[in-house]
Amino acid sequence: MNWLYYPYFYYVAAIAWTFAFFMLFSQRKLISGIFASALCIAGILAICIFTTILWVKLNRPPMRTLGETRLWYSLFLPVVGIFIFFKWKYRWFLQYSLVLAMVFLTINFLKPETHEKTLMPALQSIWFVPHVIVYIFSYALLAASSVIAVKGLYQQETNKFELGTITLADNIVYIGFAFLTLGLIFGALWAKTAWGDYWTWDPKESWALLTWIGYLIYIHVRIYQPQNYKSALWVLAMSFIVLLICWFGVNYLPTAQNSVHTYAG
Amino acid sequence: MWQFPWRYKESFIIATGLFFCGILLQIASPVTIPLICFPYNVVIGILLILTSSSLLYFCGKNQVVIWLSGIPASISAIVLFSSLSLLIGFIPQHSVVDRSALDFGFTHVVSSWPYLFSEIYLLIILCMVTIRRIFPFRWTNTGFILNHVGLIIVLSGIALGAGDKQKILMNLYESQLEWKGYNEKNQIVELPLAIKLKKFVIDDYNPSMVFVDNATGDVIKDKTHGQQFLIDSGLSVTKYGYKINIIRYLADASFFNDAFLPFKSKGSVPAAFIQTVNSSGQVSKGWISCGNYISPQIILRLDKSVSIAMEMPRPKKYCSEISIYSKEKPIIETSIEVNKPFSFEGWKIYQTGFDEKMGKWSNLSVIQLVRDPWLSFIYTGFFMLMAGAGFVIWRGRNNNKTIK
Repeated sequence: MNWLYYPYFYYVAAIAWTFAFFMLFSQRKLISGIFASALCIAGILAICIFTTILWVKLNRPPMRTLGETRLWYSLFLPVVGIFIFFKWKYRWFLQYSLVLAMVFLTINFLKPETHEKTLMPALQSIWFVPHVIVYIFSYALLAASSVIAVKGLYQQETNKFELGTITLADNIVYIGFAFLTLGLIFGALWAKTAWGDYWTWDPKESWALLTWIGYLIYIHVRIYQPQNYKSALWVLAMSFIVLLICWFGVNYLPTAQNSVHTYAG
Repeated sequence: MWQFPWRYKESFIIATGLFFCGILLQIASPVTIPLICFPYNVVIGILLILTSSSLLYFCGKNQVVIWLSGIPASISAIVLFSSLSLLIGFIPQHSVVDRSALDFGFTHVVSSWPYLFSEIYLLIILCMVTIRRIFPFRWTNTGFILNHVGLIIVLSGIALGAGDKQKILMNLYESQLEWKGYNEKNQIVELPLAIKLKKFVIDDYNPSMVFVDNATGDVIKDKTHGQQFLIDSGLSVTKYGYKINIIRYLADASFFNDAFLPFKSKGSVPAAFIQTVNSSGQVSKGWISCGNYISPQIILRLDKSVSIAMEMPRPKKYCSEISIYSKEKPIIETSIEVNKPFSFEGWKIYQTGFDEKMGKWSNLSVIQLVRDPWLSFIYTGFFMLMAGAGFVIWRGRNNNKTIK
């Protein structure tokens, strides 16, 4: 069992989530909600099983390459989506998280990577799993908040702004930001044991700090002028771009050459 | 503008002003700013707290003090700091500065004037904001206090404690006693302790089998859901219409006459005996080896365009068995490896590297000794921030309202 079997799990999840996505448009709210949730959970289980088996077979946590982090992302996004759907009944939000999760699953399907069993000594640490899980969970939440930001900006343009939009964004950003803080600190504590320094301004670190600062600014802008929705929403949308640079873009920057975070993939 | 209360505009003008003042100063005086050491850093830290507290206590109604402890100033300070971090994120940083070119400080941001100004501005505002909120104490402010005090501790610890930090690289050769190392400026320093490398051990993963394009000599990248083939006796792979069987894998071998034989000694190489069978049942056999610093690489030609090769094995774990000698204490025998440093009298000893050309036969082990007297102070800040994050997750946004 390895990436060779990925397509089967991919088909199960993709089909379940596609059905769930369309079902959520239905007017029969109760029935469609139950079925969509069940399908969504079925897809989550499929990806969960694949990830677990991959972990066991690789003999290491599958968190090293970008493709592997995409897998975790596709697992956590629908989890966040279904949690918010259960709690606040946001159908569009669940649909969004399913679409984004499928985009990431599909990238892994179309752009497969050679899976490697080897894990360099620096990555063999008790911090590896918590650091990555906390980060990916936070990224899933913050990606969600960025979509809410775009929705809010659209509502502003069309003069149909709803207060609920920004309240939801606030709630999600606070939790996402807290996890981002934990991820950053876990990373620092790990770096100290691995390389002797908790902060070295490595490109990935610099961009992780910038991402953290982006959401920090959003939180402060919101507290200072709670009525000034537009600036806050722009800050939120822009912060996600910084997050994406941190996640995928760093490898392409001139500063990447010396990064300890470029592990291939 | 410039009428109290100051808002975003005034705050950003001040922050931008600080940035340009820093750049002008950097051009006029292109020095690498020295780091502050004990006891000056403690004095500066206490002064910072005392000044902020007394400003708030005695001039709490002054509009500038109100501005300094408010959100617009905070945001301007955060944005100024993030602009400098952005420079670090885009421009490769160097520790050695080219003095012949005009120096804006952009290639060594952390030791430049704009960065220093930004740090001071951020710390002052952070202290003012926090002290204003601590008194009078309310339980509902716990999250705020944990996050902000934690951040003050971390930022001041990093900025003011950097001068007291020592990082020394040591090259240890097997069975030789060493008491000298190189500091960050590459100067030789003598240490209060001596270390002897008893043995350096590398545990490698099995090497992987790769396919090489005969025309270019490059490894062919797998475009499908490929698998990494870690070579081991009995491994069987079907590739390019061939069935490839690994009949025998030798982790340590030497070439005698026309074959590899098991031979464990300095300089031995991994080798594998391979059998290939094509679609018409034609069998051929041969050896592959990744080679090392004394043996050449050996590949096996599959057909006109493709060959089979072995990659250098990657280290799974490397470890130095050392003895530490000091004046006061008896000899300590221990081992260090990546992610498992050893603490000794205020020093932390890290396994850093080895002679990669020699691979597992390296008799050099590079270790790093780090002394950071402010580490527990900074960790206190980290734990406060973690507790603050836990608080935010638990209580959500509602309990985090600030002065409007």
